[in-house]
Amino acid sequence: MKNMKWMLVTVAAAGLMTLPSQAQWNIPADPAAKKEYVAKLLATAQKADAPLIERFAACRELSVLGDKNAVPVLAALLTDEKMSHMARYGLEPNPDPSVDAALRDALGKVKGRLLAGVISSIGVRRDAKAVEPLAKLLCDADADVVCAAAASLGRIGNLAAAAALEKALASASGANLNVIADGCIRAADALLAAGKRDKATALYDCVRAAKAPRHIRMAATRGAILARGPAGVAMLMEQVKGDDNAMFAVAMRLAHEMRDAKLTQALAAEVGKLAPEKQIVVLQALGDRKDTATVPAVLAAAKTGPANVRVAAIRALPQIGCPSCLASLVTMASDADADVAATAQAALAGFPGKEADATIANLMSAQDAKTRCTAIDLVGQRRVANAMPALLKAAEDADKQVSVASFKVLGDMAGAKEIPAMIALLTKTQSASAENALSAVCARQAEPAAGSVVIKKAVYGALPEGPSAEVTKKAAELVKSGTLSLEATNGNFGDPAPKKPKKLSVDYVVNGVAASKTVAEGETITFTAVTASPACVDALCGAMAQAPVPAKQALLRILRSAGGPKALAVVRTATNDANAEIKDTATRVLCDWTTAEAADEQLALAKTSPNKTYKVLALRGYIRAIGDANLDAAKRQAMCKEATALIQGDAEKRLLLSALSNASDADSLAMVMSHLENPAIKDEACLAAVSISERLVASNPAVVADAMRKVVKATQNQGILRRARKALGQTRPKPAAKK
Amino acid sequence: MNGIERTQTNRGEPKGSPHLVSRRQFLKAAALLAAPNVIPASALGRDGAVAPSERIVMGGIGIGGRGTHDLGWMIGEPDVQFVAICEVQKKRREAAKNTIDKRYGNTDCAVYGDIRQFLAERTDVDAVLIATGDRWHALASIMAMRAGKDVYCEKPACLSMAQGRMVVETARRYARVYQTGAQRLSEPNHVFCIEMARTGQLGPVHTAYADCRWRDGMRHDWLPAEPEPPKEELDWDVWLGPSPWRPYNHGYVSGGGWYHFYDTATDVAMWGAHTVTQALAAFDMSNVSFIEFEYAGPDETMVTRLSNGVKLVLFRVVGDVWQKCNLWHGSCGERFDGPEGWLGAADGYEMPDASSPALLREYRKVMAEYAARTRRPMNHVRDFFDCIRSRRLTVANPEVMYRSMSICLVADICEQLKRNLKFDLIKGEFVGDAEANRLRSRPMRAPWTV
Repeated sequence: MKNMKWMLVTVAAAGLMTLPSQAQWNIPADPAAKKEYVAKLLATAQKADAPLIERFAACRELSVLGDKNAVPVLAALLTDEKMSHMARYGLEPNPDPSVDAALRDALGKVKGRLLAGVISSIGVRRDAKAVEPLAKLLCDADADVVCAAAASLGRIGNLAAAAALEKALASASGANLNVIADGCIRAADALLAAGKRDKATALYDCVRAAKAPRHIRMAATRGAILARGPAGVAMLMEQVKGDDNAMFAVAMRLAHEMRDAKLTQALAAEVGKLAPEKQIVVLQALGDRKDTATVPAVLAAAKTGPANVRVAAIRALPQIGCPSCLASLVTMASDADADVAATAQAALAGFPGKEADATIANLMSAQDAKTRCTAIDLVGQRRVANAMPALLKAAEDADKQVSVASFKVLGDMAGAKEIPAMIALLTKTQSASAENALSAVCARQAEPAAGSVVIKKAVYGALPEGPSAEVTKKAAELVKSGTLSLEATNGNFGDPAPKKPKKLSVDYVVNGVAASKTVAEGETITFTAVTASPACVDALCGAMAQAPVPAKQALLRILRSAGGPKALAVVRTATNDANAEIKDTATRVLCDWTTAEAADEQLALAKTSPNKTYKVLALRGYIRAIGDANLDAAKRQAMCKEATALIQGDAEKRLLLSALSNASDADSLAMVMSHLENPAIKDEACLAAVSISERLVASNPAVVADAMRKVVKATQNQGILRRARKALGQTRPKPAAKK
Repeated sequence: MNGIERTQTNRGEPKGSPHLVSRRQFLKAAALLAAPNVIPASALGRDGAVAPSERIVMGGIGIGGRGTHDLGWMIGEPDVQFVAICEVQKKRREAAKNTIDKRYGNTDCAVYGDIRQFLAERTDVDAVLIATGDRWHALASIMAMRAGKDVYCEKPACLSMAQGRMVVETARRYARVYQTGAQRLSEPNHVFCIEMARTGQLGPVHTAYADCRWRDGMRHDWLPAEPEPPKEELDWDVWLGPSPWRPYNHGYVSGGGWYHFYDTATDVAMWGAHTVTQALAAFDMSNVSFIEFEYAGPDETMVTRLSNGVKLVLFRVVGDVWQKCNLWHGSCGERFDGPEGWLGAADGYEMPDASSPALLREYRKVMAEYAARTRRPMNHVRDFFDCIRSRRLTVANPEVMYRSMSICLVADICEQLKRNLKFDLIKGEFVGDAEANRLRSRPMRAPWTV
């Protein structure tokens, strides 16, 4: 609108400068009440002195509720510059047929934008009776009116509308030509959808012949090809072969839309004859069409020619998915051209089907070491389970790179079944690769799966003495649904002790090992396995006796990854071994034990060991154990106090802060906050404080609020600041919702 | 600017892909392949002579906070050149021009305040980035495609189902490439979860969750009227575009104030345009004929049931997507639950969340298979540019956009009418609810029409 000042005056005069939120969509369910409500809406809409916002709101709701009675009221507003749009807003979706008559009637009463709006509404409603008056408006002096009329006639899309548009196209020029041509294409689309194929074809061809811009002729060409049905394939191929790149683009767009098998054949037959830049695009389309009949053509392009064309062809092959091309891909995987080779390897990695697995596994016995390495990596990517014997064999390959590659994949893929063989390999090769691989496999045996967690008993309430409820069934349901952590909340378990601090206590079994844990309300129990499978640990321990010293050292380190009481016992014993190297390794492993099971030994070493290195390592291990998720809050507090008494350097303080950041209790927060004044570790302290506070805020907002205010003052780290402010915000009462 | 910087826009949305390494790797690969692997620029439907280089010539429409991020992302692509900015606000217009001129070391970037003039004059532009306010997304997309441009449009891509349908039809009619900015469809963690669910690795997925938290309802009020700024600074009438008129207030324009108003925005789609798209990507939607929506109260989590038996949960509570919840610990998450376990991803994840680490073991395999099957890069704007050259459908093509936006908009209508609804996806209409059907469109203010 050219000038809105009058509206501002209206708004200001109506005293609406500070309007409250306007409730909308409060539609009464009761029919009588609804009728009364609609009457009020109609009264408001037509009340000239009502605030504009209220009249708008009434029209908006009448778009849903207005019936036949609403039509004359809203139609009367179509000529009102202020209300015309919202009158259309109310009228346009109203299914009553009288709306069409009202809109047609308004055509002669309004001009300019208001007329364009009315025309648009007629188009949305596809009012066939409006074709004649709309056709007259195709030569209106107002470009907006012509645009709206052409679009609406296109939407109506019957024979009469198409004829009017075609006639107007013949004499149109400039911007009008574009919008009328657009209307023609829309009408042709509608005719095609209605089964009037010949009429649609003629209209598309008419636009193709017009002096319209290229993008409009492209649209017309697209329609013309589709309208011709099967015969359109020939026309499409003309665009593929022709010199007009725009029409080639149209053809390629359609190559992704049309499913006609003849088109696939035609594209495959033509691809080799095209210029390289066109070949690339056609090959991409052939990949997307996934027709195995095209493999010979695609494979031919993959084997010879410019590298970028070969790359496009190779990428199409796994999309088509024909196993017959696997042998060629294997050859191309070691092509002299690096891009071609890399693309072929990627194609092999993602090629669908078991045949590809077998082909790649066979490659592991290739003559040259480079191919064997590539094959091993591909086996790892594809996780070819039945290649495990070949991988174990390749781990002993004379070529070191092949051996390393194989151990890497074994570490990623091997399971309990392969552990004895891998121990033997470790003993034999005594290599770091073998140790790393076996360590990874053993560590993986400790991972719990949802199915391996069994809830024995769960109780939620003001434990231990207050009211509580047994929630075993609910906890078991949650675990069965796939979760490996339980949040102690009323949302999960109800509220057996209103307004009292509650706890969740769970007895459970993971991987056959029983455990218990209790957490406060708002905290989470995470079911972590505490040991590897007994078979894994037994195999490692059994190998210790016969292993040479380097392998024995490696096995000790692997036992740390495996974890569990039996593994720890073996390590403890080894700390007294007669061999100094084994004794040293065992002591270091003990210092670095990952759970709190070895905390007492670590503390003792940290306090009393004559070896300064052991003292430092043991203290660091002890501090790390403070972060053990299975520790209860009291034990963690006690360990923190012990550690604090021993810590001398900032490096250990940082470790402590890192361990404490996993806590969710007020005591740990207080401990962290005591380090805020130390400039060297201030940011680490702030980060730990924020981490604890995010877990604590629901149950202890007051403590969190105090801590976060201090953090906001202490740090300039933007990430920490953002989290601190957010946690602080969560300590405040939520504002009332706006509607 | 760095398009992968992980700070926040004025909307608060995390910027860019979290997968820095992947992006770098991709850029390296793209640089190798770019120039020769193209349809010449002259094949893209623009008029005039072939450009000296074969770069994709771009224009930006509505380049504010999010648009600046997208611009920074796109401008780093080796085969793209921005030549013009169309922006109704002078400050933003100039800022975007400065970004582009600085990038190219010249002052050549042209500026426009009116989209009609821009589209009429710049026949040399192959494709446009549309990052206007939501009220303009569909209209600008349709206008641009009718002018022969390929379109990358930010989400939510439309305010009504009718607008969304028109985007689909126009893209098809004009053989245009269109990508909606649901960029997580091109991020590895999300793609992995989707692929695992899609290929049955979780068993038949029975429940999918989409993070649709945003705020506490839509506003229908007007902010206090203020004098309109000079048209050169901000053309208020054009800014409003197809939306109902309301008096000017700077609060709509700055700081994303318009997000909160029904006339200029959507509710569930604010984030659902991302996350519902992510959730639906795991399912063969051609088998889904209808969806039932259960109204649970204002801003409450909404349970929807697809005709194939899958439960799609639109997770909603008062607040925003950054608040902690028990489904994910980042923003914009989706999750799939099946009898064999669950997987979920959200922003900021190093790896997806999984019910068991075993589910993550096939990460490389799944991603390799996805890459081979689809040839999609893990870079959303790159997928758009690749598709401009190949003319194939983008990963977030118009139908993908329309399907997810329909569900979000039905959820909005469910909130407005405060009742359960059943939506026929094939017919695009509500079953047995004439009132709801009337809310499938929002009549545009003239002269704007599609």
